[in-house]
Amino acid sequence: MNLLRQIQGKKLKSVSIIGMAKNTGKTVTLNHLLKLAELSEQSAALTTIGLDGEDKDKVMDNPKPNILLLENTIIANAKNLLLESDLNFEILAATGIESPLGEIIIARNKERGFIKLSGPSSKNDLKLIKKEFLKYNPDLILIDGALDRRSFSSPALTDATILATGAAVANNISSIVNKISYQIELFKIKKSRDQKITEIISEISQDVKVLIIDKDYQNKSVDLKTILNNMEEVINHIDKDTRAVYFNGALVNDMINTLINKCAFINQFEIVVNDATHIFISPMLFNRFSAKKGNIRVRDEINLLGITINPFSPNGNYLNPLKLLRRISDAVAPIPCYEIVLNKKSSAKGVEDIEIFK
Amino acid sequence: MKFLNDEISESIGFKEIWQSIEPISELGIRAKKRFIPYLPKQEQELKAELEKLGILIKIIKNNDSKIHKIKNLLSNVKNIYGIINQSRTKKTILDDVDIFEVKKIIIQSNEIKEIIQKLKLNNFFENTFKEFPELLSFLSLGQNNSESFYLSDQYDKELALIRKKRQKLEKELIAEKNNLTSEIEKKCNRHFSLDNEISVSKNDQDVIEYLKKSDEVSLMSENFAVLTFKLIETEKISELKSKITEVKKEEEIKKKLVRKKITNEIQKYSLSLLENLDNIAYLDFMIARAEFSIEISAVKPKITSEKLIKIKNGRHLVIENELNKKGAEFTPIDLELKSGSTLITGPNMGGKTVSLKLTALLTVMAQHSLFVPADYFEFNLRNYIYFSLTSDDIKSGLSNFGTEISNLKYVVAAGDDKGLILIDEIAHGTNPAEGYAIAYGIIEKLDTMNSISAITTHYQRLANKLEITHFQVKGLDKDLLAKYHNHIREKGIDILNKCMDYRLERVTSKRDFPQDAIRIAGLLGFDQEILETAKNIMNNDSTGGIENNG
Repeated sequence: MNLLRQIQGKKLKSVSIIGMAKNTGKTVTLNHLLKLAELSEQSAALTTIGLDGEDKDKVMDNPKPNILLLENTIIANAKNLLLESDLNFEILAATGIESPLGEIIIARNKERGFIKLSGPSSKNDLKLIKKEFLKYNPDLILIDGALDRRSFSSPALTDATILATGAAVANNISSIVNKISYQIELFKIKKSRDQKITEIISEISQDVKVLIIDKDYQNKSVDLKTILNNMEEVINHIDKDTRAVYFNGALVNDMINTLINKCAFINQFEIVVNDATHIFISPMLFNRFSAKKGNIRVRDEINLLGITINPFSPNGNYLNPLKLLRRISDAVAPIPCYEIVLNKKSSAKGVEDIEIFK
Repeated sequence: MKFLNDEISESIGFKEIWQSIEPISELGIRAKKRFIPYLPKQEQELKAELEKLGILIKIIKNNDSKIHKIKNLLSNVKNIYGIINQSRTKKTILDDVDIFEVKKIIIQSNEIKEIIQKLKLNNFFENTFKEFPELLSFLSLGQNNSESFYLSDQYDKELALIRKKRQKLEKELIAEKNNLTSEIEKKCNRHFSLDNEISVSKNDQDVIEYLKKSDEVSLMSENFAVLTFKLIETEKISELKSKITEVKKEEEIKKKLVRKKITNEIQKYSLSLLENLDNIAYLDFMIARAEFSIEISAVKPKITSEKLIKIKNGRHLVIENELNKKGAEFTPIDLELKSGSTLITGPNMGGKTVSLKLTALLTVMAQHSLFVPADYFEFNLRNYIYFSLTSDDIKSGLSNFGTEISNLKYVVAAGDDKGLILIDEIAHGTNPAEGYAIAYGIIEKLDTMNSISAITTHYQRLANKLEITHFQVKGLDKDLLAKYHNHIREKGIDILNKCMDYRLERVTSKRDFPQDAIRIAGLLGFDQEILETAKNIMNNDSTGGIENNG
């Protein structure tokens, strides 16, 4: 079994790769998938989510890793990066989406080779890009994102997600394992059991920051510039009849803290966020909130396909890769975990080689 | 004088109107930004333009699906003036994306042209839409997708040869690499990384043993858990690599030459391409204006060579919107202004200012080639529009008067230049006696000049003394007053507003103005004794000219 076969087995078309931190081997994972796609003669379309609001210099200072493109791969890439590459491209569309490195262009490369990739930096733009990709009917669409508040990831836009993680997320094996398993717990958060809530939330405008839904499914939006400094205002709108509170944005510690301290009804309603990548709450606070019978739900669930693990951390630490793989795999079972560089996979069956050929 | 300055544009409500005209494409938005209003010398052009607008409005009203198609096309059109102009400088070489954009605009404008022909709108455009079949097929050389662009081999025989050479070398390289790696990869069940490395866990002793024995790889690094082997680069591989690098350089140089060739080809057609862009921009902007006209139920302005402005049931959209929000209705206004001065009088809150703004707004809209919200609008083109801002933003008495006078200085100086001069509450920022005198002087002067001027005032006596046209707000409506009489004392101003008839009427006989201030005070239950005194004074005092100055 390998990641691509998992994808094919479930008849998935689009996959997002989410890096849990920098240096978690996202690019290795992406290149691995492209290699697998090449071996099984699958056509691919891919883009990577660019950093938002950064000026050009900052983007340039942050060198993008090389990605090996196969012949006829469709990409969405910033014009500057596309033109500075020595590969031959067919220009398919100029999207009008601007990025610090120029307009995002849809192109098909005419020959195998390396390229640096930087795509759109907003969700709406990514949606547009995905639509463009579908016009060319690739077997597989890959979107590379990050679990980072400066950037974003897009599990809701893809059929499944791969989490890239590893030694970079903490200092020792136990904390790494704890952090990852907590992240996986978050990824498992389900939709509201009350379908009507999900329906209401899916239909409202993207401009709504906070929405309060009451027992009769009457809903009102709270008009705020930022949620962060205005939680009291939100709490004022919550009463015993509140069924759910939807936050269109990141859910962070301060918000939950204020809720625990100031809201008398926290065990009576659900908090709903867009998806689990919008939750940035510490495990301790999450537990405190759960102990008070607080309830967090998501609009879009994440279909987590697997985890790839990089034993290197940027401070030079190198952890025992198979031990790390095993420990993480035990903690997150039954989700398959991969150590791509060493070609290992860990699952209930134990550690084995990734099947590349056959 | 400038046709319309920003402050006046905002205060008469035109800015808001202009903002609600939204072309779909970048080109249309550009055309709107660059639009210059029509001036008296361009009467014929404006006539023709309004004629076209009317035709387009009819087509849109018929809900022709072709218009939807055009709008769809427009939404994807980009502003590529920059690219075309670059091709004209002969200094820059267009890149692949630029060339793609040129090809795309040709395809788009051909599609637009086809619909234009079906709608029989060919004669709308100053220059006819060109089709560029030669350029289009040139930009499609060797392409498998008709809408994309690729610098294909067909542009240059040498490029084709260079590419063949490179591809051959690359194939050889891959074959050579595969030759070295495929057995290893299969045996070890893993592939080399992009850096040609294989890393093996110390647990996989058999793999390590195998790799250690292999001549194709060398041990590069080792730590407590992992060994990393690297593919040894054979002489053949490094030779191939350096050859490929050389050929790639050659290819880049060649590609640049080919792009230059394509840029030159585009340059040949650049003028006509620019004309097509102008056409698309014009069309988009006109559709936006037509849709706006439909939305506001506007009529075509009638242009006359007589120096007059005639409004029947004119509506000031911005004020109408505000009133509608409050659940109130706008009373349409009739007004006819001729060359010289016209005086408008009436009670406070009687809509005098609104009629001035309406006159300015409709005239400005018409000269921006828009239909206007009225049942009928006839006008003579103006060189500039002046509207005094004083009553809108009163700061302090003195500076208010000072500002007004210094503005009026320029206006009077330009008074013979076919302006539309609208002065709200003339000279009310100074003491009434002098204010009256100054107002008298200004109005008399403007009356002899070549502009159309309208002046509102509380100095009722101006109307009696000056031999000029005079309109007044009808004021309190007797029937409505009778109807609401009993509620007025309780509910006050709100009800009183309902009794107001905002329409203007021409005043022909002198001393025929309603003493509404005293009546209103009475209706609101003011002290009877005071009111009696006031009435007596109004009836006896015929000097001073200081009537109900508020």
